[in-house]
Amino acid sequence: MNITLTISKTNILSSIKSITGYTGKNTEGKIDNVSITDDEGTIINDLIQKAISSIVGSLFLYSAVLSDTGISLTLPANYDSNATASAIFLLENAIINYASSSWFYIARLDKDAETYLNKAGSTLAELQDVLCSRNKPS
Amino acid sequence: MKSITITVNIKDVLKKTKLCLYYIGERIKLTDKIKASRIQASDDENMILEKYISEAVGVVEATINVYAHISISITDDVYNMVIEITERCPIDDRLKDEIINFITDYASFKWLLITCPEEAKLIDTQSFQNVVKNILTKRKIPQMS
Repeated sequence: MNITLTISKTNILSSIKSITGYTGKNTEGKIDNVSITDDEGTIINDLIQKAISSIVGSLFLYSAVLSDTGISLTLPANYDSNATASAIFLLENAIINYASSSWFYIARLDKDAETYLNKAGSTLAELQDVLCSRNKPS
Repeated sequence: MKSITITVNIKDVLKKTKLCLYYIGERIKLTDKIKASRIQASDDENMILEKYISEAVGVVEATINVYAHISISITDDVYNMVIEITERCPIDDRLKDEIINFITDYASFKWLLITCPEEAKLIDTQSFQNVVKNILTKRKIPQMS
């Protein structure tokens, strides 16, 4: 069974902007360095792309292929397709966390970068768990 | 001599095996979801499981052959096992249940050897020989007239 986990770059970008904006607000004197504006569009798009490529690599178990619409996966016939919506949600979260982590490294906020990297790792593990959902044989 | 025919439907045994693997996977899911998903066989793996079922039928033939004459033929996804044995053997439906259970256990065992060897050790495929021996070597007490 082939499924495609769609990626909405607009949603991802907006979430990253919120995360970096609030983090910048709470980091004294660094709001301009940390918050992402449209000026940083190119670099943040690169970071998102890097995050997607890294996730594709870790989903090798499902023959993950990157396409224009998202990530296509080959799953067994008994995969429970009800889990796809939650897989898409977790995938977007993992991308957001990876990209935010990379951005915080650039902005010299190592502690936040570490936190978001850990979050990304656990979200990716949850995504792999969701992809292991199987239907009962009928 | 009397002859008994036991029919084993491959599709039914296949379904039973997959259900058995599904429940083993559900238990393992609590600790390791990836391993559980490997155990839970899908329709894509039907051919492999059918091969194990065919192997199990071979073992059944070899086991029963020691105590009775058995001939096996296959038609339309059904194994027909014709067992010829002395009239004095009170053979009943228990043998059919034991054969089907053994085939399911054997196919599950072989599948688990690939996907989760430590779980395969928990499946008992050895007692079948003793059970068959008990069933086929039993004799009715002769009636005095």
